[in-house]
Amino acid sequence: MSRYLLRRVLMSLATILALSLVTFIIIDLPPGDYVTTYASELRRRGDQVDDNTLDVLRERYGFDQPLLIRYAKWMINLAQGDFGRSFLYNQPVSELIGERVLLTVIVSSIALVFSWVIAFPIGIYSALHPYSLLDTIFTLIGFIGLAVPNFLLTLIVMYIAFRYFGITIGGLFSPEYVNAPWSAARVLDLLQNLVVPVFILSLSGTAELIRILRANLLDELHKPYVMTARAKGLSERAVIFRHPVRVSLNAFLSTAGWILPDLVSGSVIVATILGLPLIGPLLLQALTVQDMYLAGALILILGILTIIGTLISDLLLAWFDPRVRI
Amino acid sequence: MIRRLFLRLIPLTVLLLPMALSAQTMTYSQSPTLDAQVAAGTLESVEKRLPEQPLVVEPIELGEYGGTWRRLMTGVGDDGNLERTTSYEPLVRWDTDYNLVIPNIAERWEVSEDGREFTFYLRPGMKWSDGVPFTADDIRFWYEDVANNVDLNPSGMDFLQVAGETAKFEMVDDYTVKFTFTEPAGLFLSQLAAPWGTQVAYFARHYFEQFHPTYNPDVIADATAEGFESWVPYFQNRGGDIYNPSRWSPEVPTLDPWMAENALQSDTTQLSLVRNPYYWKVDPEGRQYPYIDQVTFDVVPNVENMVLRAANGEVDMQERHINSLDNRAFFADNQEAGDYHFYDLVYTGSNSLVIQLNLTSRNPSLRTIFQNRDFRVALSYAINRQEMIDTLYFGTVTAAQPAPLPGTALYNERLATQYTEYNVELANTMLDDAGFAERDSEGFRLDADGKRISFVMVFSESPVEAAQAIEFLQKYWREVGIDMQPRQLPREAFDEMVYSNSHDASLWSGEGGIRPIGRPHNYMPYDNNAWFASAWGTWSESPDSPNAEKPTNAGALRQIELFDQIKETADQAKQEELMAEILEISADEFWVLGISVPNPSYGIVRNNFHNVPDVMPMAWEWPTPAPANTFTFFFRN
Repeated sequence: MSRYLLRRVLMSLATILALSLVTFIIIDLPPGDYVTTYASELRRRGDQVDDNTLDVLRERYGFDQPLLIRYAKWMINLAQGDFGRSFLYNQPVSELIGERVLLTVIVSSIALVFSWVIAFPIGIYSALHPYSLLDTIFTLIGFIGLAVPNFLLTLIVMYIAFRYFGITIGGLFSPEYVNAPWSAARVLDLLQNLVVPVFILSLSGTAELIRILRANLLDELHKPYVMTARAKGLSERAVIFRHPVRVSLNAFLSTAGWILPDLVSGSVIVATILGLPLIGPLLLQALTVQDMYLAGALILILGILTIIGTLISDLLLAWFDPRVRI
Repeated sequence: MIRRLFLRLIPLTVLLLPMALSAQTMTYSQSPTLDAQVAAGTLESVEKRLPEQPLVVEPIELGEYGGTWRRLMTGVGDDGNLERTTSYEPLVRWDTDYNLVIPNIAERWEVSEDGREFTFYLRPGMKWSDGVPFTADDIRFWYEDVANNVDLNPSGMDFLQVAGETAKFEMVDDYTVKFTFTEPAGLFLSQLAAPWGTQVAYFARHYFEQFHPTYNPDVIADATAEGFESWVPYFQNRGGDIYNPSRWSPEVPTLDPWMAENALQSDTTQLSLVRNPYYWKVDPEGRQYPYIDQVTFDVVPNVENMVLRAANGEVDMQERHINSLDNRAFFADNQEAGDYHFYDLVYTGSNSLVIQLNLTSRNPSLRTIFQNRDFRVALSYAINRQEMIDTLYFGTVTAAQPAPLPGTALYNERLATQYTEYNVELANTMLDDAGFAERDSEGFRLDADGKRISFVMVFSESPVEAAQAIEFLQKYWREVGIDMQPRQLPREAFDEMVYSNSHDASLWSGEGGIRPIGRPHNYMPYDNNAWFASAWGTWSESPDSPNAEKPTNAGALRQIELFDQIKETADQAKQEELMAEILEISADEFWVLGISVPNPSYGIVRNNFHNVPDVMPMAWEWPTPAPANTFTFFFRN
């Protein structure tokens, strides 16, 4: 087990390193750089931008150096905990993302827990009572949840709230708490405002989990070992939960690794539409204006989350299911 | 006779009226929200806060104090929203009609006979929002330590330069400044009145000197301690750049009607600005502006969300982001429930869409073809403008070529209306006669070398209907045997192409419809914004640039020569005369093609929100809506 663990951790580190290089190259691929963006912005405001100014700016930001050198510098600084500086915000990247990471983790984990809590009982119920009325209803909702893109669902929910309830959804805080210091009332306000985003963010994940759990459990229910368990005279509850449910949980565990980054990246558009101060919208904007270090740091964090998530689910699986450990 | 004399005197009296009002006899009053502070002695009395001669501004109607003006912004990158709403305080400003440059921070000015010397008289007793006096020294700080600081502005300040020479600055006394140019600077006043002119009186020396190496020898150490690699980003991050969102911060002193209550940062979800108790303008009854106590900007990154909130009555007055043509019907439907009405915005561009074939294309064959005037005329005849107008603008506008708008002083009917009729037959005949009669098997015309005439037309984000419009153009030109390939690019990639003369053709919105002298590049190769001949435009502006080429066209050279004369005269009538001559040449040459006069736009304003003009220009030089005197806006309870 420990050798397995060591191998997995080393592989993860190598993947992160490779990921950082690819990230850096991809961000650099589109024509132009942040100075081009900045110059466009100045021109849009009616300023004349001459080549001399652009050269000075390129030199100031270090764009005159080759890609690999910039990458090496970035990595060396990164190793010292310095993520670099965002061009757009003129602020250290760590300052920018720190505050958002916390909120993102809160929103994502609530959405994750929410989707598990909902998906688990429904999935089991649907498998035990296939093609019953409730199963059909859950299946219908599940397919809608899977088929409707998050952003569209967000817009629909927003429109319905506006059209029929006269309220507008958006932001994580009500106006009176927006700039207020943290307090119990503010936390409560945050939780109230989280209902809609959490619902939207968890819906497609919930639907997916229900489908997976239902299908897996249906497969398992007719296997001989279930019959054996019944023949031993175990109660129906013990038969179901001790054996087939445990096996079909494989699906939960192996997707757990994906859910982490999925929630963050899946929330990009939803968070942008709803105006939530999460990582997603920041990443989108950083990519649009080629704010290299900010985008690089965010993609790296997403990548690390994926890798850690995969690692955790691999380890869980290995612990849970001896067949994986081989 | 007497009656006629009387009539002539009326305008004079009107002119004298504001001066009479600003006399010392006026008594001043303030918003009741400030009374407590004054009574407690934490704030000076209103007489002491105002300059000796406050600027008296006539509102549409006298207002009431109070209220919060709610607006929406998309985030830190949307600082233009703030510049346009709360922060238009240049030395001299545009009037509400975008006709004249009028006094603002400078109570008056003088221009020398030869148009080279500009003397501005400031207002004694005027103060920054923190109560520190505003003097000529603040302007000197900007001139010496910002505009002409080689680290902050490597190429100096564009609008201070005429013929490559930077204007000299002189601080005559505490309240008088003088700019001296080596050549006449005909456009200096209108440059000062533009949004970029606001920086002249933006830098409060007593605050900014702590971030500047000339005044603080330890600034490098300070910058390093704060995590900056040099003093420049440190200075900019503390508000030292009018285009940096960090200028909206409670620490930065301002001359604006409202001052930031919290800082605009990446995680800001609402920016709040509150009354500047030292604001230096009063209404005709001596009541200190602004009428409105507070302005808030909620950060809403998504436009659909903004539209819903605006329609729900959660926005008091706004046009930015929400006013697309598509949304108008939705806003009209919710007018009653949201308790708001519309105001009109008149675009100041020359045309809804400007089609520019690059006469200096790097492709020699296309260059020859595009320089053929008959080719351009034929392509214009091939466009069914009415069909485009009906589809894109619901038939609300009339067909036109890029030109000064009807009703403006420099309107040129020939330039605006020639070749706008739809005549495929005539287009085909003209192309045949121009030497492109040969066609390939697919029906496309061939150039002199027997190759298909095919070019790429690039477009980007402006105007929004460009993607739809370009498909119409492709279809129309296909019918006359010309192969145009549309290509949409992100704004940055688009800029890379057009500013380096790497494009064949471009589609963009028009400019210079109301003040062609301010933005002449749709009419002549004025600078590198003239994408119908990028290399010539670049030459006119900076002949040494690697992309520059001297125009081979006599009309273009004559236009550049005439514009040089405009820059050298301060006489506005003379400038317009010269511009009219330039526009005649534009009509002769027919550089660019257009579709229609710009489609009017709109904004929405709550029914209890007053003093918003029913119609106002939509422009960046006239940063809508600030020059409509946002400080006079008020809520009627």
